[in-house]
Amino acid sequence: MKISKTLVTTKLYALLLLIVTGIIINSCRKDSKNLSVPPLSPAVALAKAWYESTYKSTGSTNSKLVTDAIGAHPTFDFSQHVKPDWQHNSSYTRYSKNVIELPLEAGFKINTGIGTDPNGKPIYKQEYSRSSFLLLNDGKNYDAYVMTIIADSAYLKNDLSKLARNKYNKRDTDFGGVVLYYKPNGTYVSSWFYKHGRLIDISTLAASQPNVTKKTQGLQTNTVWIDETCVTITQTVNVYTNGQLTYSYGPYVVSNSCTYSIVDDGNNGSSGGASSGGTGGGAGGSTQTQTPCPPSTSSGNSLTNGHLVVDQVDPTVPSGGDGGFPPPTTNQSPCNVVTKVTQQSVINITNSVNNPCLRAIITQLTSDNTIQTDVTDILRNTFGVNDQVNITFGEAVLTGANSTTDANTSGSQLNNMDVVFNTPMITNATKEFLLETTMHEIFHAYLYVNPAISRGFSQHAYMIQNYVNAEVTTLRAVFPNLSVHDAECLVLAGYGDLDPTTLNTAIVLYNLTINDVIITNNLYKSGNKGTRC
Amino acid sequence: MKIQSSNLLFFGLLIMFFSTYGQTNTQEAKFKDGDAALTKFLDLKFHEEAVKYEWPTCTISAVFVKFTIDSVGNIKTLSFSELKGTPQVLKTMLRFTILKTNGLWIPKKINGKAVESKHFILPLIYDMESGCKINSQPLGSYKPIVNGIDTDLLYMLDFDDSSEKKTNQLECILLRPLRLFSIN
Repeated sequence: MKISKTLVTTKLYALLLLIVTGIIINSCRKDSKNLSVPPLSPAVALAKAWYESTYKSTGSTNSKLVTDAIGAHPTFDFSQHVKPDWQHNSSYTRYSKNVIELPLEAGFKINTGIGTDPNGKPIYKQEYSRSSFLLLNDGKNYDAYVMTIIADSAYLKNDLSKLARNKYNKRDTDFGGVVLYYKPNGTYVSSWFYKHGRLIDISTLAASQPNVTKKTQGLQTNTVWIDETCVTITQTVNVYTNGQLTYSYGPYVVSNSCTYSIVDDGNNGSSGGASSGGTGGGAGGSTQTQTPCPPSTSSGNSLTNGHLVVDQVDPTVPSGGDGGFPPPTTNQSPCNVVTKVTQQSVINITNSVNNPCLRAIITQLTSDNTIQTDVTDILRNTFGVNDQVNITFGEAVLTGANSTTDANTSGSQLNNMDVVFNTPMITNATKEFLLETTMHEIFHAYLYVNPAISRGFSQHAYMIQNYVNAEVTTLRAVFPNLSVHDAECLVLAGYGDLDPTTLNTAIVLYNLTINDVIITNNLYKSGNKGTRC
Repeated sequence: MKIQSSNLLFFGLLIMFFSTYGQTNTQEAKFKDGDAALTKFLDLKFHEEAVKYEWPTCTISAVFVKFTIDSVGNIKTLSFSELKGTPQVLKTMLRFTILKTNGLWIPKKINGKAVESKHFILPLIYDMESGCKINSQPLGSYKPIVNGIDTDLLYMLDFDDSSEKKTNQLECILLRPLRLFSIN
């Protein structure tokens, strides 16, 4: 009994010891955790206090929203989505300012992509981006920025670790990509583009992209004109928290960057023109180019776009002398002017095809009041009056399953239709063929805008039953010499993907055969019959 | 006289208290700038997403995305209807479109307290006749309405979040459908 009592007492002591040990270990862990966070230096602590009072977290991710126009967008407020990691600061002096460079707080990641067209593919991919905070102090005031570096694939060569080598004060000598500066509240500040370690003008970048918003406006005098090349920069941001996508933003237009060049075609006082033929009495066709900016000090290859030298780098951009990036703000020259975002106006019918023949046909359908048919009524009354319904005509080389089609109508918005003509397929086409193709696509657009009309039918099945006569009438109104036979063949050829039964039933109604339709259509498409462009 | 007024006031308040006791004041979650702005915003954002991707060809159907808004106005849950053959790329477009509304909602409130919203359902109707070869039937195509409702439609209402509830059993808010179309 005594032994047993002793055993119980021993066990109680052991249990007590275990609990006490647990408490001690636990408290030690807490202490150890606290000890692992060293206090911030006074300079960093002051900067942190300034930042947190200036960019207060509201506890929500709300952004100011403007939705009443294309191009208007909420600002991506970095300060409400990510925080600086104050413990892993890097402090140094640059451009006469004290710099504190800070990575994002652990667990957060921002992927930023940049493109030159809101509707195009990004030039700089999100996966190749890295963001950090910069706090600059001139001895009196603080400034905070988010610095985003996006590398290009030519530089990275699939080695993402190279991203970490580039910081505000240190850049790989062969760096290619872009550095962007924003205020923490999302206000865009500036951007600098690099290729093979050299600063480049953004228009160089635009020139290498097939689908960019690049416009050249000529202000023509006798022999000299000014080219203005403006490139839109768009931004896309995805925020990841602990690996999960938690916020998606953009693409939004953040700036328009313009370059200006004075171009002399050497025609010495002749009437000149946009094309530099070089046949005048000047410099024998040689092109002399200068810009209103100070001469570039950059060396290496300049990319030329015809007579226009586009690889001009602003020499006033400070290099820092330490191989880092330019500062967020500098006195930029007019060579690289960042202007306010321009908003697109609402356009009802946009004719942006290159083929002059096709362009004229669309214009004729749109605005030639001497032609008045069901087709022109649809085009003018559906798309030309209602400012909520837009149709855009364009031209491109269609690929994949669409590569052999003449044209395609598509849309991803309720009331915006895109009609794209397939350039290789219409190269030799006659005017009759182009008019028929245009009308066919207009009917598609019309049925998409009014889905109730063809409900229950595929569009082609509905069109072949209801619109053939309207198309034939319009074709013959524009081309009075076109026979009914040929007009009907041109129209019916547009429905070749219908099932044979439906197609044959319709064709027989017009006393035609499928062979008639195919052969006649091919004659007009290849330019062997009809009005050549 | 003064006492009588106090009594009246007291009883009045008492009646008001009991008449409102047990009633809840519910305000559903809504887009900050209103329903019309939401339609416009989703339409624009979907378009921005759509132009980034290569669209599927020769497929016609619909997919539904279901989501809720949390108590601070962000997207909380998001799931898709599981119709066989829905191209993944369309789900990706929809996912990014919905996530772009994060922070732009006024959360649902019950008696002033913010709570998670009921389900929102956003349909995407896609009609990609483009790329169909002669006599080929588009994938996932629905039969004409004149032939009655295709049984496939029933599966359109099952969601991939493993919730056993079918859409018609949900208390939900149906949004105006998005559309994606392409034809030659």
